[in-house]
Amino acid sequence: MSSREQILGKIRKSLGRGVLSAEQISVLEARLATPPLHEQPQVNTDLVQQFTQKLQKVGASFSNVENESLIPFALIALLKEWELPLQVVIDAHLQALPWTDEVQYAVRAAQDSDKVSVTEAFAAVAETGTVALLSSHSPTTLNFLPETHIVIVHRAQIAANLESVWEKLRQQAMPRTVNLITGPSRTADVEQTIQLGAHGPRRLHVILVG
Amino acid sequence: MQINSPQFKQRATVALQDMRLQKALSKAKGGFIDKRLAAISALPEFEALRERGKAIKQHTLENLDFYLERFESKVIEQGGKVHWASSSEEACQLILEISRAANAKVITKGKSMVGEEISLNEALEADGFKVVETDLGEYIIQLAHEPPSHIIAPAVHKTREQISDLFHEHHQQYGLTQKLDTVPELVNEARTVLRSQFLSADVGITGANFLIAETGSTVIVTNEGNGDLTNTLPRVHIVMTSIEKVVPTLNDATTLLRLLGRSATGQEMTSYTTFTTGVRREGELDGAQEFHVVLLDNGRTTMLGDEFKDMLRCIRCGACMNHCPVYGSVGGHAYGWVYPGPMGSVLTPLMIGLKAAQDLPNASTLCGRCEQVCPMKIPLPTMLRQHRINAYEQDLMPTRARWALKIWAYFAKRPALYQKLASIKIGILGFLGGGRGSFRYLPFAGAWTKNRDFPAPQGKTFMAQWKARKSA
Repeated sequence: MSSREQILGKIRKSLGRGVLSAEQISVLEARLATPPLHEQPQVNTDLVQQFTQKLQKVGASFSNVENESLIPFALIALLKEWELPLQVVIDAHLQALPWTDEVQYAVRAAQDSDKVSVTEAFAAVAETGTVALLSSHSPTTLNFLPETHIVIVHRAQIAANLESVWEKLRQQAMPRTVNLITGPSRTADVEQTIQLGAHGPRRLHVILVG
Repeated sequence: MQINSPQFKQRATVALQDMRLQKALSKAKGGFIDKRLAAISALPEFEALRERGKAIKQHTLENLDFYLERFESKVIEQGGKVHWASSSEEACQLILEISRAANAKVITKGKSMVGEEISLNEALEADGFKVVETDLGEYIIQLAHEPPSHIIAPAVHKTREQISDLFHEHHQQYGLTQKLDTVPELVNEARTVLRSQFLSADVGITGANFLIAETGSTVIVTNEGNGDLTNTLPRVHIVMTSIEKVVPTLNDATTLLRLLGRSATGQEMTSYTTFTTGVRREGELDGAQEFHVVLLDNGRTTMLGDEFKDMLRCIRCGACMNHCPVYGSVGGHAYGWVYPGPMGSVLTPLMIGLKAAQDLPNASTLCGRCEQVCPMKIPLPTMLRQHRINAYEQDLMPTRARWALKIWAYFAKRPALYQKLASIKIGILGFLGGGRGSFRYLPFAGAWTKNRDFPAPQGKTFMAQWKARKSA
């Protein structure tokens, strides 16, 4: 007998039953097809306000632009403020923005030497100040290798709770990676002292559009 | 991992006298407790979420075969493979085969307690692979050749000075020769050293906090980002996990995530919560091209049918050990195996045998704080007591202890006689010790009087006083 059969058999034996009946299975199938919505923490009705408050609480920063076409200019201003080179790696969807010659951009997966990446979020969560990024939309390494990660979030993308993000995701194929990112990389492994930038980005900045 | 649980008493004695350990433990304790309290105080729904979390896990365990099979078929749909392992040896063997087939030289690892449970590093290293732990805490204890002492903070027993010494010794080979002192310097140096390992790894191994039957996803909850570099950069990603980690849907996992972060570190969400589903899709620029999930049993299917079933709800947050007065005094290493604290004292006897671990269920005052703070409401003290009953019934206790218990039980079952004898006994003790007020030595109580005096009883027994006051 394979270990698979052995484990499944032992589970049934311990539960004191045989294989589930067709009727029992259909109840479980129905639960999977319509995932139950459990208790959710209360969220401020002003989702943008709660989202930005939580972002700051977890050590991320944010800025606003009125529309997409202003993103490259906002970006240049940020890089200058942080005294970083005007070079970024971006995901392919941002290529259509009105880029100027002042900033160099590359469209690819991240490399170790990259300092700044810019990616577009799939959604954001007001409850916790979280951004959700999909590997089907932008290379996952952009979220982790560079020291500064800038995420583009449209105001309309901010959901109250994570369950709404799952509902939106169920409308499409599940990507290889869903990254829920809440603040920059951190560790408390040395004497419980929080230190930002353990292995991932030291800085997380959200540009809110709209 | 080497089993040292039979030496619990000796190890606890050494731990209590280890000043550096005591310093590290006292630094850690308050932080965990205060942060958790602040986080749950800010969430009025916490109690309701606990009840819901418990119900979700109960439902899943009742239908574990169904959800595991569904999880498996979803993983396969997305180009991944699921491997089932009854024992630790089988799980190690499966991972060795995958790593050999991948022609791997360097293997990076995210933190995995199941990996510790099956002694995965030892197996991989014996086969010639270079294994690099990438969670900072795990990396520190790998350099020190020590096991973890806490399930979410593996190096919590190490002081900054000790970590500085370790880095100074082991980082010379990379040309990093300066002795470092501050936390930022230490974290930065580890980042530099480990970055090159991430980029050169052929296989990445992570654990999983949850498995999602709805989508075939594995979930990791981290703060450093090491788990994500481990599952994204190498060509092959292996998830080493166990069967009780599965939950039905993304919504169910979300409820448990709200409990996990707050109970563990007081965070509403950790920096990175990552859902991995299958292999790199066509046209994508990064991500693993092979995705393997190893599902371990190692005694869990037996627990499902006995009095320890509730333990399978555990989501490994560490709140029980953070609040345990015994763990807080002796630290994790005294417990002698992978899982320390109250959850470990329940799990370890089930995994390595009650005979080898019989001291662990006794290493508890049964004060009940662990059950109070457990987000999954696991009745840990009840299960520790059950282990004690089993140890007695299986004749594992020393003969003297058995006889003492038998004699005590004879009187305890006869309250009138018990009270009579007790009042005679404290009368004698009160008379003998009355002058000094305490005893330096008492027959049959040498273990107690070795380190402290035994106070002499004053006045009558509690029952006698109770009766007297009631009739007055």
